[in-house]
Amino acid sequence: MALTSQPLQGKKRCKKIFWAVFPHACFILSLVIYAFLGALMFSHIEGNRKVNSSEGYRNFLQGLWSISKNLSDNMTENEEVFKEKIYNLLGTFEQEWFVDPKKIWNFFGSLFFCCTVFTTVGYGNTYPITRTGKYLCMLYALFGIPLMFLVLTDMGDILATVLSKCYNEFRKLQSKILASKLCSVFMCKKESETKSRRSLLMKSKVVINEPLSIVEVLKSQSAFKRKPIQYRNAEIFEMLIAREKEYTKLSRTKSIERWSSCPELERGKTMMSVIENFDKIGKELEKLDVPILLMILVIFVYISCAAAILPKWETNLDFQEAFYFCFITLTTIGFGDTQLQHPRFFLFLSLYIIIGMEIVFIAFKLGQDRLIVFYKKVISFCGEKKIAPKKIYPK
Amino acid sequence: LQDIIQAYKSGITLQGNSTSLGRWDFSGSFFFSISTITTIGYGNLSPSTAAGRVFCIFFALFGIPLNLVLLNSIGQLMLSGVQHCAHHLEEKFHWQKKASLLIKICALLTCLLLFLLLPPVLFSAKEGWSYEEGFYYSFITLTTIGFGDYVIGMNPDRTYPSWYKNVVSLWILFGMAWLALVIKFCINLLE
Repeated sequence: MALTSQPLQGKKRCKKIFWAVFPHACFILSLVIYAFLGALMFSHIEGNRKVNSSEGYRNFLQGLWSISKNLSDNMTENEEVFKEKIYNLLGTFEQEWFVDPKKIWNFFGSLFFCCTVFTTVGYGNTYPITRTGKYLCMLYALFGIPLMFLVLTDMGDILATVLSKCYNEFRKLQSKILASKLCSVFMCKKESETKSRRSLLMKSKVVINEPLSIVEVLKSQSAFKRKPIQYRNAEIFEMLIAREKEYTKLSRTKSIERWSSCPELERGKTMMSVIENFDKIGKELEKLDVPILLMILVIFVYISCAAAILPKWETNLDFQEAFYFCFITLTTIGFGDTQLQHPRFFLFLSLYIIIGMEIVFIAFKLGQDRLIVFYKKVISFCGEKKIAPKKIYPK
Repeated sequence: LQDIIQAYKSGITLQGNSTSLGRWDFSGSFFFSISTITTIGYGNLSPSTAAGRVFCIFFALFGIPLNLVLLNSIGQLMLSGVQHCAHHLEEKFHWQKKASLLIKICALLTCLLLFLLLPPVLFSAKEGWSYEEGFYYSFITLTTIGFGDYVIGMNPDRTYPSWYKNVVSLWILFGMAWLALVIKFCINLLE
């Protein structure tokens, strides 16, 4: 019996891992499929655009020809003419005259375009020109942006857990070092006392993953602040009950594992947990509480990595320009002033881009919370100042 | 010819008449800062000096969370306004709970009209775009994609009234807050 249970356990573990990873992989896969579908559609619609030499293009060329015809041999005179007339002529310039739709709207070009749409970066080096293309672009964005947002929130949970765990480990290490220093300074003889003190120190530093008191829960759940006051008590009550349920569920799962000879129960339990996990998307993200300077440092280090690699194949970018470009992309601003020579290679970095957008997203969320706390302090400070002089002391 | 056009595209300024949104004077820079912190990022104007870029990075780093806070508060204000209205109307006319859903849908449609369907009319009057182009521009701006193929106030041949830029900035602000609210609602509904 013992021999047969071993491979069974391995199989069960594989299954567990599979069902744990499946929802996240599901989201990412759906996003990838959406991007590919969009690329196919756009390359078909925009790539087959009929290029007819328009009126404007012919006028442009004629203007250019007439200016160059009237140039004299005197260079200084020519400069004045150049500056004014050429500038006015270039004002009528339209990008669509000089681009071959088949070249820029091939599959990879359209894929790049679709990515700029649903990440809301929107460089603008390629944009739809036909009417159907524009309508399709709007429809595509309408569904693509929430999907991207969902993927970001989902992966943000993972990243937030990783970050907070690392941060906790770091704080534990810090407190251990502090405690050992204290120990050496005071020459503590009672080893048991220091051990308990050390464990106390560690517990006081570790705030995140321990069960939180109600006040701390309220502070961290920013969702609470959004709802009106009359619903808050009900919410608190529900949250308490939900947490109670979680604790009882934990103990229950341990007891179920013992009678795992019943496969249907196993499957049902895993499906339940998978479905429940869908509700928990974004909860880890709201609980995150690392210092914001650390996040900014992480961002800068992350961008520097890419900025060091990017100039290898983009020869006209140096480190500073690549850094600027990566920053503008990851914050989804996307000016489009920096032109990439090889957009395809940038697509290969798509995992890097998603994680980078994740980190920036988390940093901005943290920044938001800090700002709100700061504003509250300022307002309460102003409020106190106003109330204080009004106090009438009884004689 | 291609090189000249590339140079022009990369924003080498010549002495000429461009509109106030195409130069680095106060209104142009103000519009640029708005397009940065809302992460729209048109790109018609973008920093080319190293110092400008460094400043832009720090400016965005602090400005974007600030903008998010503002959008959230505006969204909250709008939501509480709608809820108050729903509450008052329920009290007055003794309607049932379903009425609040009706009122919310009504509010949604009004906001849709105000933020997505009416501005293209303004743009077609002031910029000379067609209604579809105006609608496309509104959508691309409010979702913060911001290609930059259409940008307001960039046509040197047209004169724009003084209230035009301010009205458009207000529209961008409230429109983005409303859209963020709608997306949050949709995600809540999905869950």
